[in-house]
Amino acid sequence: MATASQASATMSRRSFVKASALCGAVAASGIAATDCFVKADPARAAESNDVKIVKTSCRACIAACAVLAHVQNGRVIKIEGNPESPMSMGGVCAKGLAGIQALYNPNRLQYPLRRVGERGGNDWERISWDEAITDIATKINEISDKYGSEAITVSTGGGGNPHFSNVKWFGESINTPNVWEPGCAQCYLPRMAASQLVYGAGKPNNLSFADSNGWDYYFDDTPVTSLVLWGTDPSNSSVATGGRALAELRAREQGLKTVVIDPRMTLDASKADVWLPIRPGTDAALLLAWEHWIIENERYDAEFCKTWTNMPYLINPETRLTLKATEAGLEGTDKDYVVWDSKTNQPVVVDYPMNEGVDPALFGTYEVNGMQCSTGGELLKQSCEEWTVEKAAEVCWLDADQIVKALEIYTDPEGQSGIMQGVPIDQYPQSQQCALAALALEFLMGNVEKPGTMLQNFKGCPVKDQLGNTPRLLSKEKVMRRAGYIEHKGLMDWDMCFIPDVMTMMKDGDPYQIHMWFDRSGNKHAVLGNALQLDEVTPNVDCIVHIYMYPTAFTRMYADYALPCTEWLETNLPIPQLNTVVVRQAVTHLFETVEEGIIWTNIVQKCAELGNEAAARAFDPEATFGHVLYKNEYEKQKQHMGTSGITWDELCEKGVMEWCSVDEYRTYEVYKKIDEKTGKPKGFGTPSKKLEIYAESNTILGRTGYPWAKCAEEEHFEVPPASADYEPLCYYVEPAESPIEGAEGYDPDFPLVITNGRLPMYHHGTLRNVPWLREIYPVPELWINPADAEKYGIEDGTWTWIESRRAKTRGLAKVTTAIPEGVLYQERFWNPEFLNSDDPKLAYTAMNYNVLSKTDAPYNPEYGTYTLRGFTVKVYPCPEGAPEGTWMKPEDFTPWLPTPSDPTEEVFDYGA
Amino acid sequence: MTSIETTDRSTEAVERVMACVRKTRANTLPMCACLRACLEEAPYRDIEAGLESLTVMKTSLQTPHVLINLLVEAGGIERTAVEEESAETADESNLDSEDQPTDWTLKTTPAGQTVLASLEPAKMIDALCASEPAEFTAAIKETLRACEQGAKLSDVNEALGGKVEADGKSVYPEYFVSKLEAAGGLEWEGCWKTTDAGLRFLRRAGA
Repeated sequence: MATASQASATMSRRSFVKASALCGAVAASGIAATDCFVKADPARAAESNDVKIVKTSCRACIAACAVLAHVQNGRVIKIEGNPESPMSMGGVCAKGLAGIQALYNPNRLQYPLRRVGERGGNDWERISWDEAITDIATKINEISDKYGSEAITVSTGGGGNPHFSNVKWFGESINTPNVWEPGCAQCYLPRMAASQLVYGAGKPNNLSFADSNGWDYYFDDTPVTSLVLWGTDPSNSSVATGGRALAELRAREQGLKTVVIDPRMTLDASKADVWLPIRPGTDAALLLAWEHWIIENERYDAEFCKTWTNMPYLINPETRLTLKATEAGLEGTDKDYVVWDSKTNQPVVVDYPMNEGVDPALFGTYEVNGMQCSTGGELLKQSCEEWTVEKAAEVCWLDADQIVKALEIYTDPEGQSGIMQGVPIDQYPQSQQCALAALALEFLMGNVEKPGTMLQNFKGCPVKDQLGNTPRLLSKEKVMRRAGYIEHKGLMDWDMCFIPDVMTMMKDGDPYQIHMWFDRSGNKHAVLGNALQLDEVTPNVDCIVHIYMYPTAFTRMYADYALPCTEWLETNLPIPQLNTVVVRQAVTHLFETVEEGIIWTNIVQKCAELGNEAAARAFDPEATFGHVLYKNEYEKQKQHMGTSGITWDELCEKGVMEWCSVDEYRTYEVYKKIDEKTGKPKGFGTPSKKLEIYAESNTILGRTGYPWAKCAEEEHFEVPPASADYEPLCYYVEPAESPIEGAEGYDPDFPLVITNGRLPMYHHGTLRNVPWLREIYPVPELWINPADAEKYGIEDGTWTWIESRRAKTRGLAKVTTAIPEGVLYQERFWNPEFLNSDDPKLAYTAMNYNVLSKTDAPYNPEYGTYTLRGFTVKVYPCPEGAPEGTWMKPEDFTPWLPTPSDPTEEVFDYGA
Repeated sequence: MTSIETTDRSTEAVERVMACVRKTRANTLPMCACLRACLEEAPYRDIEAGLESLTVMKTSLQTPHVLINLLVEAGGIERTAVEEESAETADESNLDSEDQPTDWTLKTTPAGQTVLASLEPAKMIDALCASEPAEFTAAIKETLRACEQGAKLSDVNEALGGKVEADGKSVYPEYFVSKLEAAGGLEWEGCWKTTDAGLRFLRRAGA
């Protein structure tokens, strides 16, 4: 058996560390990155007669960079970037390069395990997959009969190779409505769902650069001149794709101006023209000020707003929705909109997209049929009236002149800009408000589907990385039992449930007890808010199944079954990337690991075999409306390849394949294309076909559940309204734990605001057990401004206690001006080295940001977002330092160095 | 689970056993069954065999052997090695013999007895009712009545007429099913069945 050093012979530790630093530095420096990466040399590879090169793609994070895996005698010995990918172009970051260490980690779960003894202990017995699946399916069926299938909850997470739609599909197949993930309402859902409501270009088209959009920026000829990076840091979060693309844009002759709005001076902020170190939790205030300034200075694209947004549409003051012709007493239907014609000074029924010769007023309040009806634009203007730049500067702890400078860049009439909006706004209760406001800004500026804009509606790839789920498998009665269903209807977009209610159900059984929990993710302790609540809620859950690649604190402390799933080098998935499809194909297979989607379907099949009628319906074309659950890997691959005409084998052979030309892919101004049925422009995917600056679809969602409430009986069914209207416009609410003296929620004992944020070597809670990544950043840094450090007696490089109203934990102080006064930064963390110790709880208490965070009310109305960033804490020295046994020195991680092993047969039949 | 008063004999010892018994809800009643089975000292094989057949043991994912070991470690059961004068060896003539070597015996400790007494289903059902509003207490009784002859969850749903509301809380019928099961008032035998303790509660309540 090769030693670890032999297995890693082609990548020494020095070159690994150098490469990982290079990726980050290149992304920040703006130099041309493509020449800096190692290119595959096919000729050289071919000469090594026992080395095979397999084209695949990484899944250490969601960027899915295409890579070349070198395999010798069945073992993966080297990973390098594949230059054929149009997004990463041969780049790969430290996380991807560490794939071999992740694959051959000596702590891999190798076969199914069943706990012997108490949770928290570490005694397990090996069982066969058949026994595991039978045990688990029997339990599912028993619990379904005893308490109802909703008593089972299923969760996933964004780290560690998840396949998001599969987990929801599994939940529906076993007839539970309670599927969730710690992200969701706290990660990406708000930005995605807001865009679906008010823009309507489909799920992946929104302002998230890392998750979905910004496709135009990967092409050399994009005319973008400036970008606003609002709480996003591609150099950290998508190093080789988005980070690389931004570096290339900066390296152009004309350069790229950037505005970075982030409390941290990130790598991207270090290159920005304007850095606005905003107080965490106050983005809505700044967004309102931007709206106000743009309207006041008339920087908006008036013609675009008049024709393509609902800004000129009159609003019924009684319904708070757009006024219809029938309500206005005008000729027309209850689906016809009304504007005020400035030329004739009277209301006019809209002839979509806009009447010839009519000049619709964007602002103003007009009397129509006895009602004082304002335009959508007028209500927008009123909503931000008080938000001067000066007021925002005061609230957000910013410099007013810098705010104006940023606005000048964003609204430069000679340029083309866009807003990239990142996850921070999803992580506190103003998530929807921030998402809607950022979209409103882009709509005001006409930054939609033009060359150089963030929002694009490029041609959709027929190959799918996400297969979708089956919400209509669930009956209305079952759907109505989903935790948080009535109050937080935004969750319906992902068919997920409200986490705080699930926690209450686990702990108190209110309104019914959760008896079984499947978790497919890394370490919930690292990513779930108020993480210590898990110790309180899990004792009342009768059976917990954990599916992952390694044991984590969750496994040790709570799981009754541990099922081994595959690492990315062992999985198969096609991934659309611009006009290509990149393959992830299994390079090897180890032990008895199984890809999670195959675990799910085998459990469902066994449930059906044992008499579970709901599970049997998952395979019924009629019950699933044609979306039948795959039974094996072959069927899964076929579903992914869809109607593309490309076969799986073909894709594996080529690695990266075009599914259309670049010109066919880059389709601009799709909304202007003529719909053959109507002879009119297609417009946008909203009820009015207009962009909703006045987001009435948000209000309708709260009142009815439309467009996402669905069940077996009805495609759209009306759900009772939430307790209060969802607002159609942004508004600001001071964080519940405020650092502002005199504000409600102010507590002088907790004076500092804390936030977290991405690092390039980790992805959410993952990879803390990969030695060469861990030694780059062995413990979390607590960034503290010099003024605060002096005030609270904190010295650089010393351990510091951080305490919130909920708990306390540690960080290693980094005294720096890269974080403003009054604000702290520390990334999420957990310590796998404590798992086999006498005190495994240290794994998630020693230095874990999320024991501090807040999951009680207030919540965001639409999604139930709780507070992961922008709550308050205090800091004081920790003279006792880190707990004994904390690994920090490079040699500490030696036990985790890879132990390569030979490939094994797949566990379940391929199916073809 | 609601708070139960314990006798204060050997408080620390009782607390250790109680912590063990209540650590995981699914193990609580099975562990009580283990403590009950060991009230009279007996060989461990006999005790484990007896426990295997009990419906309540299916609530736990652990075997009686494992649960007993946990209770031994927590001090709720005392394990005593049995000295044997001569070792019995197996040969073809005694393979089917019922007599087996006895390695050790088990007996519930005083602390274990105290815990068992405090977790007696009658007390737990009373405590459950005491912690809930009156409307919920009525639903508890209704649930027990509905399950006297055996009932599916849908039958319980029908008996309670859907959600039950009180004091700002609105719960589903399975709320009561889960609580009563945990208190020892209901047992699952392919359907929900009111236990003897549950029946006694109903009689005491005059229901």
